[in-house]
Amino acid sequence: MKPSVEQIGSLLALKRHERPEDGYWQDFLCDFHQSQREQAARKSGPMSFVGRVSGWFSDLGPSKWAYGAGLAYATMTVAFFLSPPGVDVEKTPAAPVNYQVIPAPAPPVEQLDQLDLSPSTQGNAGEQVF
Amino acid sequence: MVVLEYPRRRWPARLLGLCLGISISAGFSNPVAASPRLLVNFSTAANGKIAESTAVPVEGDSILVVVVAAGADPANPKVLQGSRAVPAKVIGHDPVSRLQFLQVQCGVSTKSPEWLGDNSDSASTSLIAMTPGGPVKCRTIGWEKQVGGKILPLALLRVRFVGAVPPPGTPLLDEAGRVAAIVFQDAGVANTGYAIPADAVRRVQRDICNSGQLVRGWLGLSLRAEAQSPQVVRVLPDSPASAAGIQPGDVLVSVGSRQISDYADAANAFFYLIPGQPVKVKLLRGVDQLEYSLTPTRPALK
Repeated sequence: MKPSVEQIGSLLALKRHERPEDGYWQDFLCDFHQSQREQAARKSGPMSFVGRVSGWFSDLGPSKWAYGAGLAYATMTVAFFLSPPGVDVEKTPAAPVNYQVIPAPAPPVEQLDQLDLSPSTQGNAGEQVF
Repeated sequence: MVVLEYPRRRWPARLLGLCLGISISAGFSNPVAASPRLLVNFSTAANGKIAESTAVPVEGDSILVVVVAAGADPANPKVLQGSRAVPAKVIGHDPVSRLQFLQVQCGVSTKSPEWLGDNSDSASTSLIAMTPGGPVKCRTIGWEKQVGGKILPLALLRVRFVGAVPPPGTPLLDEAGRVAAIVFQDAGVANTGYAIPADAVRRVQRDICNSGQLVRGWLGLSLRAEAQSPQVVRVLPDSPASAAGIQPGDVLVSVGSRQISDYADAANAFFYLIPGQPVKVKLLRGVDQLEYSLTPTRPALK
């Protein structure tokens, strides 16, 4: 059975009534991103901190570039003032050393009376008569 | 019909026979190698151990020379040939060189080998040690005049052996089979020992066999042991050196055939002086070289 013209007209009126209003999809996307960030923020760890920071940064809108440039300038200024100054190495002039190398005393030379090569053998030092 | 015979290789057999013949002839010609080893035991006062020395005939088959180790009692040596005890009498003992000469009563079955002559150069030569286990190659590597700060009364040969150092008294033969030295003691360094040269053995033997003790020649010179050069410090009055005209300050150049380069050389040369036997002494006085003939006297006459 074919619908009548009146039925078709009432169906079209119903469809036109169900179409969302203007801006509905834009609000839906913002709500979705917000819920994602909140879900990531609930997680612990450094990645979540990074995610929160990046989320906060992205929420700043067009002014985030001005904030980023200011932050970079401040970082460079602090690094410049905190870096240690270069140390000039002064060469000290060579000074004469007063130390004197004293040779070890030579062992006393002794004349053995006998062929006894044991270490405890005692000989005669000094003048020898032949 | 021609029969071709394959030539037999007989050279290895001939070579083996030649080597065997040389070995046998060498054994017969070398009395030290051909006879059983002569061993002398000494008791030691320190710890009761036995000190051993190989004995070598020096004159015929009745006189032996041995080395008495430090601390050993030279009074009662026990001579063994193989397992057989050989009765022996002590002729004399020289405490300077630690050589002892023994007279065996009935002779031993070992003829005296030929000994190297006086003033022969024993250094820098290849020698053969007649050890109890057989001949062992060795090589003299110089003279030892001083051990540490102690100057020896006579210079010893430093000998490097192929293997362990043989016991004291072991004869060291030159290529002609003559005794060039006898082992004195282990030097404590790897395979190195000291040896008494043959002319020192003959020098001591001469006096021990004649008078029972070593009598050293005396010149009346004094030198300082610590001096760098062999310079005469003092000349004793009424001495052979004084009579010849040697003066303090003269520097010794040679005594007999022995060149003098330092004090230890001079001490070694004076060991070989024989009383009553003239010796030529060369000296430097300033730039002049002088030569004197001195006749050493007995020390008791100084």
